[in-house]
Amino acid sequence: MRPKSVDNVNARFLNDFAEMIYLRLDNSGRILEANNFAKATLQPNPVGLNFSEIFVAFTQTIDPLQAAQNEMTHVPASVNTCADLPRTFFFSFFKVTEGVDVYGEASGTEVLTLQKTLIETNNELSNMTRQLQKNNSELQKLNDIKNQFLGMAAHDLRNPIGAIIAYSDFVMDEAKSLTDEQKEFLSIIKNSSNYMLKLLDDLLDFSKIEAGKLGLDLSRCDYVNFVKRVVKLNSAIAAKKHIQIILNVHEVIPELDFDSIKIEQVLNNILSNALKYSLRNTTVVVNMFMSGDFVTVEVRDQGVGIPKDKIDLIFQPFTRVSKQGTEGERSTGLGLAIVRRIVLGHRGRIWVESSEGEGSTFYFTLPVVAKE
Amino acid sequence: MESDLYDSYFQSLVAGDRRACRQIILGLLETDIDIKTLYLSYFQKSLYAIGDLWAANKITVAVEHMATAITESLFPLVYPRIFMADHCGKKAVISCTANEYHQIGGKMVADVLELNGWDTIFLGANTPLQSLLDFIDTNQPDMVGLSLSLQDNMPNLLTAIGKIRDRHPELSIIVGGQAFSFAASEVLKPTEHVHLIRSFSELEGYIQADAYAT
Repeated sequence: MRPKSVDNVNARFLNDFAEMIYLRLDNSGRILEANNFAKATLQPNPVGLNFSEIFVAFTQTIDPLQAAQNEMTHVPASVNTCADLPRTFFFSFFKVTEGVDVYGEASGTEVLTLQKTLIETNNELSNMTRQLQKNNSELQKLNDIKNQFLGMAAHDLRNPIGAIIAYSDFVMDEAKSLTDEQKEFLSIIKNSSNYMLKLLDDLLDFSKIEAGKLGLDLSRCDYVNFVKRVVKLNSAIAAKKHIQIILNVHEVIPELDFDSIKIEQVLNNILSNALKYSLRNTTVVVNMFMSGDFVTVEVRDQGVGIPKDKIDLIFQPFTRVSKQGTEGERSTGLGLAIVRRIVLGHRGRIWVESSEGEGSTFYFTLPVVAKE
Repeated sequence: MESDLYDSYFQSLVAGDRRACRQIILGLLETDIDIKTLYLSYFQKSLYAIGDLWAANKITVAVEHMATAITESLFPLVYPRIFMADHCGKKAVISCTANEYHQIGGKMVADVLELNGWDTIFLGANTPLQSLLDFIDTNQPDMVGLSLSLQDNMPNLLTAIGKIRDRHPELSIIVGGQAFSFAASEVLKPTEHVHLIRSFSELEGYIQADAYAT
């Protein structure tokens, strides 16, 4: 029923709080006033529009003046709403001195249907979350079992491999009594065993890191001298392929807190990859510079480079871009995955830029201020 | 004080303050609260109290729905602890019957089974009977649990039990839920191998009984 006088308390209630559309139109159908609910619900703001413009696919012609004169009530029609969804209201029309008052009540059935749909959707989402979390936990358990197995297998295999290497060395010491063919066989045994040992060490490292046992031992070090030392060690290896390693320190680098054993592993890995995938008589350049609150080490080679479609994979475990280096050097496919985790563990970043046939540049950063 | 914390949780729930509820539950989980205690002393207790307020016309149904939605949103906080238990090799399907929209009780039962090493599949609210039957056929669980909150849905429950029994005469069926607070367990008399479970301890006692020893 229409309120007899829309003033004082009723007018304030209608304008401020009522959950129904109230519109005051002139006799031509132009909207002069709209209450807060109408403004919050309808899209766009209805004031100034013609009454027919607020409807979705307005097929039913309603002349508000005529509707008011005929005292039409509860006429269903869908309006455009701010939620970008049409919503059905039941419109009633009343003639007033200045024009026409229009009241739109929400469809009770529609509200209930929406409410029910919302509850069902919420339940469904909640149940899917449960199932996802359950599946995730299963995967986590399987991953833990895999890491445990890797760790155990690598640990248990390490001792017999060590024995093979040691006894190969003993026999090699007796080289005088060996034929050339026997020496070659022993050399193959030793090289293969060393590769297996490296693979097992990487597996052990990887399984420890995966199990959340990275265990960084941070201490303050002169980072420049540290990098110089690691570069010097790798220069000896580089010399075998006639590769020169050049270190450039571009600015004053502060002392840093880092795990020197782990970061040496990082730098050794990146440098050995650079050497492995470089051709003879090329150069590897190592640059050190500040990047805001981080120190960046850049390792640039002139090697074979990384295909574009493989760049995103190289920090994933067991994804080698090339099985062998330019002179048959082998790699385990785990090195960069381990390196990445060590750098992230220091709250640094690692990334690569590469162009196939031209070379690769690896970057890794360490923070000036380490946080536990 | 535990009761102060519960009061604070309850007030936040009624006020629709999801963040406050979340903080309280996270705090409780940090203190290593027993999951069953959390479910009973916070989730169940608060929702029952809200149901009472609604029945007394002191809150609207919208507030009740909001409280339920907030509670639903808190379950994932608990899951990392629920799903890490080792499996005992038993599987259960837990579901609500058709037209039954109150699913939180059933979900808590499924979670307690998980804590006991069971692999549970929770089908949720308003599961059509045919879907439930097909699901049981496909997954061959060791047990089916049906949750019932509203007594009006009792005929649906009895029909579901009958149909499950026709297909799987030996399959163990458990039922529970607020509907049985008012209904005498006699309603289940015509059914066989159906066990009314009134509490988590009853549930654990039942699954640990000889019939379910692994």
